[in-house]
Amino acid sequence: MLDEMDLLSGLKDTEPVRPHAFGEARAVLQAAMAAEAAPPAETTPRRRARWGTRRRVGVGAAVLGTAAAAAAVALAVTTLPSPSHGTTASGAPAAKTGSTAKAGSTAKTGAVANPVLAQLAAAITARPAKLPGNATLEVRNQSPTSDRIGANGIDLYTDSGIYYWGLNRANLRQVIAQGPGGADRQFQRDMAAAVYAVHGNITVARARMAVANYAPGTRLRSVSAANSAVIAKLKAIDKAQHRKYTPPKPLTPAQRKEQTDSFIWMNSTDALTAAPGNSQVRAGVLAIMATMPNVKVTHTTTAGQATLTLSDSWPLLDHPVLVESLVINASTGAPVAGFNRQSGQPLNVTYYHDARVTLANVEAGKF
Amino acid sequence: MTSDPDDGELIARSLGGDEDAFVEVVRRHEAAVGAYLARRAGREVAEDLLGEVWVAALTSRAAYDRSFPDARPWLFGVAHNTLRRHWRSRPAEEPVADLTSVAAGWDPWGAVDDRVAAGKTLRQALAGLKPQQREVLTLVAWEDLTVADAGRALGVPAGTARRHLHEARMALRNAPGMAALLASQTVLADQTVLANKTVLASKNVVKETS
Repeated sequence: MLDEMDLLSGLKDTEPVRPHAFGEARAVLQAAMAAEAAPPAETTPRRRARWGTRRRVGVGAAVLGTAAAAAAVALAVTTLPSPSHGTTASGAPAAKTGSTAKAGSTAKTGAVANPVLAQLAAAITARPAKLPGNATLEVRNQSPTSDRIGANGIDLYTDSGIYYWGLNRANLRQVIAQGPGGADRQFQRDMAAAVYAVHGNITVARARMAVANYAPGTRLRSVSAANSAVIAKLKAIDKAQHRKYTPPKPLTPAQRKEQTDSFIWMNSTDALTAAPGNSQVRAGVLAIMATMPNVKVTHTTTAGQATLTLSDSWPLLDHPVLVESLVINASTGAPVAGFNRQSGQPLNVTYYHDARVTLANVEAGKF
Repeated sequence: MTSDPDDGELIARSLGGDEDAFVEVVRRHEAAVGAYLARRAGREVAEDLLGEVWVAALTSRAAYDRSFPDARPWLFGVAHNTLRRHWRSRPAEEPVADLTSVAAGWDPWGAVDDRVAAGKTLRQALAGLKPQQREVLTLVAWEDLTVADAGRALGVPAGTARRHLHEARMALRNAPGMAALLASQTVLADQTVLANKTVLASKNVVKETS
């Protein structure tokens, strides 16, 4: 007489896992082991880096660029002729060159360089800012469709601008449990600048965004001091290599404008990827990017969804020229993917997979 | 001559920094854990989740009770939790995980009506069980665990696991269509035995006459 256990055995057969999958799974394990064994300093690069830190800019530009951007803060708006990026050193839009924007004015209509982005920003602004949950869980990987966790681990961005990162789910929980020690607030200023751009003065918003990657409270003097330290380091390197020290050439006005444009782009993209669930941040970022004539906008399709690909480059600073692109959803502005193109370098696309969560649930392992 | 170290010993070594030791544990059980995942979520998902299971096991290995020489029940438990997280994190528009789709492709004889009917009835009965009952039942029936090890995999006492198994079997037996299915399958099995005996007898007759 058969019983229910005999019948159940008949359901046991299934398509077996293929041999290559065992090898891939072991490779994932071994990568995790390597990360576990490595000292913290070596695992840190797996954490999300600021976009700009991944960029290679000429030494001279890098050395003096900080001073240029910092000076922009002090001057607020600088009059510069024929900006190649439609950007002044202060981050002001080209249409405003030669004029001082009034504090509190919206200053948007005359500054629009990318109507597509301006329209999207306006549409997003009208939508509610709040979504379910209080944080966004983000997996960055090389798949347009799968949110499988890879070497980039998991990012968690709270709506208040705190950033946590973990190699895997368990590690992310550990990091959150560390409290302030595991938290990072590096994207808070970028987000604040973006939110300000929605209803504030766009010129001021751009200036804020241009320096949002600096630590809060950074003052001109300290930036100059840092600059001096970099120059001292260059001198020491030249001396050690028995070379005569040659001061880096100051940036030309056109290069300074590119530098500022580069900072605005870098921090804007950081804000967007750090707050994909916040419609006000998205709207603000797009409002700022709408004032950047050098940002090229292309209608694209990514993994079946309508997208816009935003690209920027800085030919006066980068050799060979690097083109950075950010792909966003065409109706929500949420980030979908990012990639860089540079001659001789393979194209490496990073896709963003986001889900709304609550911090408490993630900490409790409910995600 | 020394015998191979058991899983508990290998896990202890891995905690001491021997990475190969943990990989050896994985090698020993990867086929079983892969099959466990495939039966419950299908091959594609199983292949996606396997690495996640190993990383989760690696992360939690310090809590492994080394008095157990066989890590397989523990690894099934890790796989079970990984699957639960996977199902929870699926987009809302996807149907909630249930057992109506488990072991897709289990039956290569889809054209045989009674086999299809049997599978459908069984899967519906399985879907009607409480999750813990279903898990204990399938760990015993499909993964060949003892009921105590099934309890260990799920983090429940052996007595509780026995109760779940008993309740699951009762529920299955009383599920709609199961009584008829058991009777028909018993008849089929008896007919098969009879047919085999007849073939054997006729072979013997041929042997004797030749």
